[in-house]
Formats: sequence, C-alpha cells, structure tokens
Amino acid sequence: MSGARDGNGKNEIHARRPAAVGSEFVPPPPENEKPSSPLGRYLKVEDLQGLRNYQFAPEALVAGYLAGRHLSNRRGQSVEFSDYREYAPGDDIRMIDWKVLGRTDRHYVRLFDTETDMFVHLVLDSSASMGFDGGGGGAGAGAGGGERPGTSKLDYASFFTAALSHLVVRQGDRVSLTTFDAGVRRHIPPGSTGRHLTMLMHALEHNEPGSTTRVSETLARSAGLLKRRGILVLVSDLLDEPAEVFSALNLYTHRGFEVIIFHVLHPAEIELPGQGFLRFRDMETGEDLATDCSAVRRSYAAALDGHVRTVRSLARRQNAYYVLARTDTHYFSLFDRYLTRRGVL
Amino acid sequence: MSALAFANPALLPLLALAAGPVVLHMVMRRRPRLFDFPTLRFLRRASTETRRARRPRDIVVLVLRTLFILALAAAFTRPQAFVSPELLRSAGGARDAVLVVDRSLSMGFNERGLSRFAAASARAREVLDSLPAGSRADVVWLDAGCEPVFGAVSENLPALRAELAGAEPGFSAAAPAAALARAAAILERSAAAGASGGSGLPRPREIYVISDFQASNWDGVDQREAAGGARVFDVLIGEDPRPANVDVARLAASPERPVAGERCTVTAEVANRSAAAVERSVVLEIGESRQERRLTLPAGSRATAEFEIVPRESGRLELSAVIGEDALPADNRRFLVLQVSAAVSVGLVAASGAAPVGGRDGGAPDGERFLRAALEAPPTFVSVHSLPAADWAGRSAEPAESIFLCGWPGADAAGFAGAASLLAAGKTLVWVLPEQGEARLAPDALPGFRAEIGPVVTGGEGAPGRLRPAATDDPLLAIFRGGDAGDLSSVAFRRHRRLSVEGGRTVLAYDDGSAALVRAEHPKGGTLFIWNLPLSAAGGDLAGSNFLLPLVREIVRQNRGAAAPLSVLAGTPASIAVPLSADPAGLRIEAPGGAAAPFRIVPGAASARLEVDRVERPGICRVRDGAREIAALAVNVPESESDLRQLSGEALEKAGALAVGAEESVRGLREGTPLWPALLALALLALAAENLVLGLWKTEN
Repeated sequence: MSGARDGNGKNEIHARRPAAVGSEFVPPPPENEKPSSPLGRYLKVEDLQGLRNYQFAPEALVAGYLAGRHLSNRRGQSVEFSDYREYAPGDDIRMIDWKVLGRTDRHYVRLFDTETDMFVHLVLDSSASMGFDGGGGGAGAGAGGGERPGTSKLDYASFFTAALSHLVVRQGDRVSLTTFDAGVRRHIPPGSTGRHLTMLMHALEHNEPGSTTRVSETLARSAGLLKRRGILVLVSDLLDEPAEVFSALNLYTHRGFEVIIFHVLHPAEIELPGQGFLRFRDMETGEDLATDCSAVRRSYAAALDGHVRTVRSLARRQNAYYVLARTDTHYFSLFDRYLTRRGVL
Repeated sequence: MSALAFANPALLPLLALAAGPVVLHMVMRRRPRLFDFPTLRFLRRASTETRRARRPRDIVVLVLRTLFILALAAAFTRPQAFVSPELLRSAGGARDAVLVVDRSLSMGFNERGLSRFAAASARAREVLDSLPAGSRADVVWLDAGCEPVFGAVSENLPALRAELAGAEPGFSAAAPAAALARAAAILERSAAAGASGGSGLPRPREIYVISDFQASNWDGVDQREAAGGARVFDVLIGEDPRPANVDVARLAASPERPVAGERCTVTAEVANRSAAAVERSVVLEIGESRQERRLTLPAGSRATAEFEIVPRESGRLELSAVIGEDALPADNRRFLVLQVSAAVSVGLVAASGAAPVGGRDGGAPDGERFLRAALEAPPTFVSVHSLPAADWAGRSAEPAESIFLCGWPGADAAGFAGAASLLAAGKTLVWVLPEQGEARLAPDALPGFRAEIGPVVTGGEGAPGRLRPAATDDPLLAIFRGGDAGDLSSVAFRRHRRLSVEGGRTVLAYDDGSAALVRAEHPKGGTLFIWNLPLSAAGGDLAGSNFLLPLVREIVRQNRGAAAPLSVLAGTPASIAVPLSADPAGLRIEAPGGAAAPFRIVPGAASARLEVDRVERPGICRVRDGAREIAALAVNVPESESDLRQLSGEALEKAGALAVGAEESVRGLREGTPLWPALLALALLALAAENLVLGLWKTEN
C-alpha cells in the first residue's frame, strides 16, 4: 500500500501490511530458549521480514541534526521550496531570487524546508503490573488454574518497542529508549546506528518488571532527557491517574512533540479471569482482595471501560494518538491501527 | 406429644452430609485462590459496590444447598410422624379392632348429595382395608340398640364390608357410652382369649368411632373411660360443623285425653337449628283433614303453631304435623295418637263411718249426694261411678280419672296407702273433709306436703264463713273471674274446719285465714285436693249455690290425670296395653311401614300389655286383633338427633380419642404419616430455588 500523502518523495509514508503476519500474536519462547535472532529475543528474523514494508513517520514536522528523510520546520537548505521573505542584512545573497527582483524591484530571498532526521523517543512502562501474563502466578494453591500463562504485557510491549526501534533505525532516524516504573530506570539517548539498535535490544532483553507505576512523574522527569522534539511513544498499561498522566504529557505537546500512546492491556485483565471466589493480589502494592468474580465481573468491566474511555478522551483532547493494545493481537496490528487512525491506510 | 420413626434408620448418618455445603463454604471462605492482578483498584471499586448485595445471597445459597442435602438425606431414611409415642410403639402388626359406626337418625343428613351414613360406611371400609394382615374386627352400630354384627372380633373382614355396604341409617338416637362399652366388652373378650399380634405381645385393641359426633349426644362422654383401655380413634364425619336443619320438635294436644265434642288445642313446635332465619309451613294432618300454619323462625329459634280440633267421636285419633323437606327429612314429621273418650270417668266414694249429711235421703254422707248431682247434671261429660267404701283405692278405681272421697276421716293406714297409690298413678283425688268428727292426714301421705286439719269452727251469721280466692292465678278459678260462673264471695258458710298446709297451694280460703280448698301435686303426676267446703245446709249455702257445679266440673275437667303415653321414640322398646278380651292368637303388631313386629304378651289384672323390643321407624304402630285395630302408638324420632351441631376435634381429643377429620387418613394417624414425599418435594424446591438464585446472579453479571 502506498501512503496517502504522496509528495515528491521526501515525506512519503509507506505502510504495507505484511502478508505473512496474522492477527494472533505468537507467545514468546521460554526464557531459557536461545534467541533465534542475532538482534535478541524481541526482534526475530521473520518479524524483520514482516517489517520491511513499514515505514514510521511523524505526522508533524520534526527537527534533526542531520539531513534525513523527514520534513523539518526549520528553514534550511534543501531542494524543497517553502516561501519568500524580504531580504534582511545578513542573509545569504545566494538565496536572493533574482527573477522576483527583476519583476518587482525588491529583494526577496527564497526559503527552503530542511529535510532532517526524526527523533523517536520510546518510553516503555516496566512497572510490576506490566509483568501480568494472565496466568495470575501467585502463591495460592493452583494459582493460574488451568489457564496457560501467555505473553506478559511487558513482553508484548518489548516486542513492539523492538520492532519500532528497528523501523526507525532502518530509516536512518534516531531512536531513544526510556524504561520506567516508579521513576526512570534506564535511558538510552537517541541514536541511529546498528550498534545503537543492538544496545536497545540488549536493554529490552534485560528489562524486568519493576515496582509501582508512576507514569506522570516519569514523564515529568524525562523532560530534561528528551531534549530534541520528535515523536514520543508511550507504551504503558497506564495504571496511573489519567489526568496526571496527560498533565505530564502537556510538557511534550507544548514543545512540539507528537505523542502516541499505546495502551497495553491483557485480555485477562479486561475480562477478569476465573469463577467464584478468588483472592486477588495487587502486583504493584501487594494488597489483596477476596471477591466473587462472578458477582463483580460486570462492575469491574464497567470500571475498566470507564478508565479507558477517560484516557481516550484526554488523548483526543490533547491531540495525541491513542491505540489500545491487547496482548492477544499481533503487535503488527498496532502499526496498522496507528496508520489507519492517521488516515494513511 | 408427637413421635418420629425411621423406616431406614441405617441411613441416618446421611444427614451428616448436610454439613458438606457448610464446610465447603467455610473452606472456600478461608482459602480462595490467590491471583496476582494488575488492576486491583478497579476490582476493589466493583467489589465494594457488589459486596452488600452478595453476602445475603451467599447465605441464601448456602441455606438452600444445606436444605437440599438435608431434605434429600432425610427422605432416604423414610421418616414416619406419629401423633403420640404410644402409636409409634404399636405401629404395624395384627390388631383387634371394633368399628363403632353411627347409624343414628342424624346420619341421614345429606351433604353434597351423599348421606353422612354413606360417608361413614365408606370410611369404615377404609379402616377395615387399612388393618394389617391377621387383624380381627367387628362392627357395633351406634344407635339406641348398639347391636354388634358378630358379637366378637373376627378375621372375616369381607363379611363386615358387605354388612357396611348394605346398611342404612336408622331413626333412633345414638347412645355413645353404651356403644363404646359394648365395643370395649368385645375387645375384652378377645384379649381374654389370649391371641397375640405375632410378636408374642398382646394384640393392640382399638376402637374406631365413625360418627358425626353430635354435641347433643357426645358432650360429656369420656371415651377413654368408656373404652376400657382400648385405644380410640374418632373419625369425624360431616363437613359443616353447624348444618342447617329444621324439624318438628314437639306435637302435643291439650287436653291430652279429650272427650268427644270437646275443643282440643294441638300444638306443633318447630325448631330452626340453622344459623339463618327460615320460613316454614306447618301442616297438621288428621286423616283427610289438613290445616296449615305459616311460621317464621329466626336463626336458632323455636316457634309454635296451634291448631284447634274438636273430636266428634270417641276412639283413637291419629295426627301428624309435617313441614317441608330439607337435608334431614326424617325429622320433618311428628306423629300423635289421641285417645278420645266418650266421658271423663269419676269415682265417688262415700266412706264408711262417715256421718250422713243433709238427711233428706238419709244415706249419702258428707255431701256425696250433692257432688253426684253437680257432676251428673246435664249436659255432662262426666261418667260417675260409685266406688265401694271398703275398697275405694282398689281395682275398681282403675278406670276413674278423678275420685271424690267423701267423709273419709283419714285415720287408717290402708286408706293412706290407697290414696298414695292413686296419686302415684296420676289420678286426681278430691278429699272432701268430714264436716264432723276427727280428720287427719298422715305426714308422709304426700311427699313434701303437710296439712294440719283442726276442729270445726262455728260462728255467727256471716262470720267467719266467707270465701276469697287465695291463688288468683290458679287455673281452677279462671272461669269465675268474669262472674258468669257465680260469685264465690256470695256463698255463706256457718262452719268449717281449721286447715293450714305446707307445701301445697291454697286455692280458696276463708276470711279467718283457714284454707278452704287446697291443691297438692304428687311427683308422679297425681293431684290431691283437700275440700274444706261444707256441703250440708248446716254448714253453709254452697250446695244450693250456683258456685258448686262449675267448681266441681272444673276440678274434674282440669285434672283428668296423666294420659297413658301413646307415643314412643324410634329405637326404644314399646309397651302397648290391650284389653284382656283380645285373642292372643289373633294379635299382630304392625310397625310403621307395614312390617309385622315381634312382641311378647305380658298379662295384667285389668289389661294385657304387648311389649316390643324396639320400634325402628317413625310412624303409627298399630295393634290388630284379627282385622280389628284395637290399639295404636305413635313412634317419633328423638329430638336430640335433630340438633346437628358437632363436637370439635379438640373436644374429642380431650375426651381421650385420637381424632381425624373428614379428609384425614386413619391409617396415617395409626401408622404414622410418611414424610419422605414432603422431604423430597422440599429438596426439589430447594434445588430449584438455588438454581433460580444462581441464574439470577448470572443474568445480573
């Protein structure tokens, strides 16, 4: 598929659905299984083949150090004419449009948009709640019941993050990675080399669920780390107060960041597992609660749905992209949905 | 006190399964599965909203599950409920039973197209069917006779069933105590014979009373005592405790023995036993003649219809009063036989030794002549007979209804005994005190009555000899109140005896307070008058006054003595007097309905009596000598049977019986009520309720 914004090639966005990829996400191999890809556990050869038809580009213009493929709002020296401006002292006289001078007897200089590198900042939630894989774990007898533990939210988010990093680096853009729980756990500054990608993969592989989720605080503190504006990709289960999260995101949107939120939820989290009485233990706080699943299922679903609606509403209000990421769907579909939302697909 | 038995006691431990849901509930409460979960805050919010509603539901489900298992386990043990531990001990096994089946008149009451007796017969057969194998039984009919079918318990239950199927309700009153005693005696004999119930123990002895338990018959009957140790089961027949019934309660004539041509008042009393007012026409039937009266009877009341008749000829007069039919038709007609005589027979005695009075004929002592003249003066309804002075209380006095005893001084004991026997026979004895000499009434001549007869008192002209009524309301003086029959105060007396009495009634008295005419009633119906009214010219002006004749005739008319009863109750023995002239070989008693009734002849001095053990049906019982009818007897139903109000089950239980109602099972009472169907139903109900509750929850969730 070709992009909708078909310009003269610089800003073209390509997004092709990989034919070999289904909608179901394949669970990751066990921990002791040797990675099948030289890029680590989260980036496999078959996924690389599927990703070759995707290109990741921002909706807004981004600013970069090096000339690249993306349109910048900085006026620069490139072949893409932007506008005229009256000459001012100090301007490069090579930029004076002589034809205009001949017609109007005025000095105007030609302005060109600068094609620059894109900065993609990946902010990955690595709190304890992201370790939820639907099996429950727990210390109780028969915890997990007959349910086979599946992909944890963190695994799923890591796969997605790895793929996104690969896309960005492949395009020659720069990508950074910030993992957090109660605070920033690790920050890898932007880079666009293969080595940088390897470093990201390594970081993802060694990333484990941590403690409590403090998205708003993390975003606030990360403002100093993410110096260059670009695309802020927040991958999180957003178990924080939505108002505080978006208040923190304001800092970025005001700086010209494009914000994309991938809200990761596990199906078991959405539908509430089990029947009868269960004792639930909070994965972050350790608090527990005994309740009858059958009795509370409807109320729980309503509460969670309310939360999602709130997040979605706030995202729309701040002109941020929101994509609900269920771990039982292939993460490729997130690209499709993102691009669909942007009207590309 | 109730008791419980289990047919499968070995399964009782199953009841412990009821603890299962409770234990599971406790275990589940204590150790629910632990589940690590990321979004606990949403779960907590939802849990808080539903906790309040869920907890009671949990308890409801727990209770329903426990109830289900408990009821199911209990059903497998097959419990039987008994109303008393005594029944529990004797449940099962052969027994001796006597069924006391009510076939009195009230059992003819129709309810929903079926008589109570038919229902009783059906229930009796049910009882027979429910007896365990090897049991023996007999039936005693509950009526006036209390006759048994066999007289002893027998294993021939089919014959009893046939007897019950062919029986019909009677017309007599029930005699509950006698029937129970008869049943108890039958069982006592069977126990003495030593039969056992199969376990070596004596057979249980049981009496089943199947009756409508009319309060008029059963109130006060101690069934436990009358049953003599046998267990009594009362089977209550009748659905309405106070059914509607109207009956002719009484039919009587006044006078009871009218004289031909005399006006006679016939009274029919109708009783309304129902709880609503009714209107009834009462018809008096005399041969082809009919008179009708309309009565309105409020609820629970009685009313009287009066009919005037004038018998033209002497002889028997058969009457019946009838009302419209209702659910109990047998008591809607009542019969009466009147013996109409040609004249009232009066005996007149001139006692020996009495001084002649008046002297005109020189023979009649103490006014006998004046009395005879007053009685025989035409027109008369009196037939006067002179009785011998030596034996005035003997056989010759039997036909006389009233006897005037003139001049008897009252000194001899034989005379007092004779007077007492006449009074005890219901006759009227008028003792005309001698005007001279001693006179004395023995203290024990009449129970409760004493008379002090003093000497003759003489006075001047007009004093002390004026009469006055001492008892103005006495019926004897009724005809004098208008003045047409003479003025008693106009009669002057020149002498009289001092007379004072205790226990009797002074009808007339002198000015000085001395009694002139005294009435004393004998407990058996006779009436003694003491006549202290001199009839001689020396004694006063009474013999020549127009006061004597009506006074004497009123005494005779109003005091004819009790009529020999010509009526009996159905189901009771009857005794009918016949003249000695009747040919014993030609005598036949025709019971109501036309059937010949067996009888035996008891000869008497003046007449013979035909005795019948029991007259079953109401109507007219006739005695024929050949083709000639020589006597008749009215047979009526007992009034007590018309009152259909029943004893309550509680009252029967107080009387010592185990009572069951119309819809209850005797077998259930005796053998216990199986509880497993109810328990099974309860278990299914609990299961359905549990499913319903869970279904509702799922729908909500």
